[in-house]
Amino acid sequence: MDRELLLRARAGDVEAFESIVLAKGESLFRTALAILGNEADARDAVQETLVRSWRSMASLRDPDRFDAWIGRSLINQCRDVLRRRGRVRDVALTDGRAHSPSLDGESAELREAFARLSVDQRSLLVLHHLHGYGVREIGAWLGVPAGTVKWRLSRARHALRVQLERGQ
Amino acid sequence: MSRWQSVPDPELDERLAAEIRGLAHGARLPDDWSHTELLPAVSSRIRAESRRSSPSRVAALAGIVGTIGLVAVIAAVVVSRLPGSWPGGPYGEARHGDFVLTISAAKPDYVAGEPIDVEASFGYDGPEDSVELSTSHPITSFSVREVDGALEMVGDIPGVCMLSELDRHQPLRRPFTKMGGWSRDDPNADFYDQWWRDPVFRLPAGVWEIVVHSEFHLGPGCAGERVTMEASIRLTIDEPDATERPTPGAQAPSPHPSLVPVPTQEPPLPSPSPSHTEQPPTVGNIRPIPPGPLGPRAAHSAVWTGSEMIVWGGTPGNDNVPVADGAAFDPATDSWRLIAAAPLVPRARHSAVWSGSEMIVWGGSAGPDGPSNGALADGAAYDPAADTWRAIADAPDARLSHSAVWTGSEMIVWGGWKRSDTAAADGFAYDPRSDTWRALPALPVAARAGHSAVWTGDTMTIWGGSGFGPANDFADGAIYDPADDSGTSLGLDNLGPRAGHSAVWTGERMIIWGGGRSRPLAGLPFGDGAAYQPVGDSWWSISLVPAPGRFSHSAVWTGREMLVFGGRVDSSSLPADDGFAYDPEALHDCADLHDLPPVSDDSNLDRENELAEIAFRDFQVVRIRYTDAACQTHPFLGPYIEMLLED
Repeated sequence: MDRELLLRARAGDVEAFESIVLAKGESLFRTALAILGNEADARDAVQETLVRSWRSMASLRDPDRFDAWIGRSLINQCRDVLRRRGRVRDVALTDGRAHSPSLDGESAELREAFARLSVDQRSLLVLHHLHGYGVREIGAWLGVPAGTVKWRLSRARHALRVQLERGQ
Repeated sequence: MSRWQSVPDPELDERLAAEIRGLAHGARLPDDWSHTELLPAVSSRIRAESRRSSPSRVAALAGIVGTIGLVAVIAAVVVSRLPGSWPGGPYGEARHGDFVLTISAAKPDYVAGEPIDVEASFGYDGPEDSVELSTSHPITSFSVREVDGALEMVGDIPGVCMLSELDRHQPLRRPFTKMGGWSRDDPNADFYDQWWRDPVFRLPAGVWEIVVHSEFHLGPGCAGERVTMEASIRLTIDEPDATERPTPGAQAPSPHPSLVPVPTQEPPLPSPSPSHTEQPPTVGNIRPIPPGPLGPRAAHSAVWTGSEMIVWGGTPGNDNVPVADGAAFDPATDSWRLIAAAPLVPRARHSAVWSGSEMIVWGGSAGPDGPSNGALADGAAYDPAADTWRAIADAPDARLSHSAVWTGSEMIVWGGWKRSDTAAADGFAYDPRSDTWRALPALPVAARAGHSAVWTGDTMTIWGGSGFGPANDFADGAIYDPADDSGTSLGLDNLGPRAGHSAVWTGERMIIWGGGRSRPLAGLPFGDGAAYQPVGDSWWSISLVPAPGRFSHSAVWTGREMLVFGGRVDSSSLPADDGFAYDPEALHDCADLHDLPPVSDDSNLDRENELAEIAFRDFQVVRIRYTDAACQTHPFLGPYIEMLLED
């Protein structure tokens, strides 16, 4: 991310922040979509993340950590979206997914199992597998120590296996 | 209990990565989606907010319209509202340089006795990202004046000088808060006594001016330029409709001619009693502790002797004046007894530990009449078997709002305020056998006060607290190992920064509960907490719902329950004179667990005893006997237990 752009946005420059929206919007949307499994929810989460980030840009101490800073906000918004909709464990896989390609049996099982994980577990796995982040980068996104990320990742994988076995 | 184990499975990882990529790219977005959909949606909101709050835009507009238009622009600034104020209600604003102080109410007219909604906002709109302010008063305080009468409730309580950081365009908001006092000699003392003790903001009929004051110094140390600001609104309080009058005897009689009866639908006028927190009985692991002979109490100490909880010192009122009495509570009989008077000056924000035979009280603050630096270095030990006290040697330094633990042979005190503007990151150890003190090294965390500390058997774990400076409240901690004088930092997730909370060690976990944000205008205390288990470095969020949050309370671990006593439920009411016992191991009745789908994280089975420890949607951890019929047929728990058992 262009540091100069971030500094201007932090100083209250709306146009600079709009450039950030254009640069980051789709990536944030893809991440939210993978976590939430629903297009409408993902759009809501991204919009809210960006508006809240604008409000609190002044609190961004280190522009070099902007990705982790806004990423953490996105994860929080994903949690809030699910809380508001009253869906914690069961995410409807077909909602807003009219364009999804048809899935074979194994793939559908895996996707179902993934959708049954908690939002925090899904977030971890998305950051790891979609963005290729290591435990330290994920820790920065989530604001938790690397050791905790490692532990949670192992539990998320375990939970996924349990869900897969349960579905068979 | 079973624990999750990590088993590498590269094939599953590969399939999962492909699926997640498929999920992320499953939606077909137009090529220009960011431009045509996202940007307009976001821009419309942030530009609207920017227009409302940016002084630079107002100044730019003023430059464009020139001298004639300047008056109109300034007037527009005066009447524009910061986000969060009520539309349509009365609004007042004051500016000093880049600082803005506002006050607003939900509506201009109320009925006597009706709760009144008033909120203040204090913000910085200058060119810096943030500014440092220090104040020995609350940054904002409220006063209420009777426009055509003599009543005036003046809010303000001096305290120690505290530093706060105010971010630009991030105004601090505060609902109307009572913080002040009155003179017993005042002819309206009876009215004031009732009004100040009332936790609800309401007024008798008449026209009233509600004023918010702000007093602070620029920069740290309460030594920079002093700024005072004041904004006000007027409210009309009408006589209640005769049809809404309460039945006779439904409320306290008015001590003042202008104080009219309170409608029955509203809470009664205040009685001069401390706050009792409601203890609704939901999930069965909370039971109330009755009020004791000490009355209201906050910033006191408490220890568990093995059979009794001894409470000592603290402040009974809102004036920061401490006392030196104590009492012991026996949970087996739910009864209290007073203990012998201590050879110590009254104090609060001190510490106490149980050595196995004595309660050792040390340090603290003697209040407004104490030493100028605010902290004490003396202490005494109480022997409950003989009901006697003995003085102990003074420590090398004084502290208040520090922590103390008993290691089995020494009392370790750590952190706290050394002076009103200097927190410590080091401590001392006291050996009662030799009546001597030794200094301890600093731990690898920021200096702090108002934190918690527990002894886990071989190490001391400290967590939370607040520091002097922009960092303010902490959500981290450290582990100190006296065996080699080493310290390691302790991260945390699940629980937000706080101070004035409590922590107990259960033998397996540290339970942190309550507390609040020490930053001014930070709102009500927390009613949540967390359990930290060193084995596995794991955290569980806990929520003692329905127990309301408290801060400056005490907590001890009895071996089975955490006893919470005293403390404050808000900053304006008297401290609580009661408490509650929390049993984390209590088994819950599945029939009482409604509409709470369990989450798949943080759940454990104890197959030997047929117990399940399950985290729920709000991350409250409950324990159930999973073979109970109500659990197996529960709409959420039944399938969930089945899943766990299949594991």
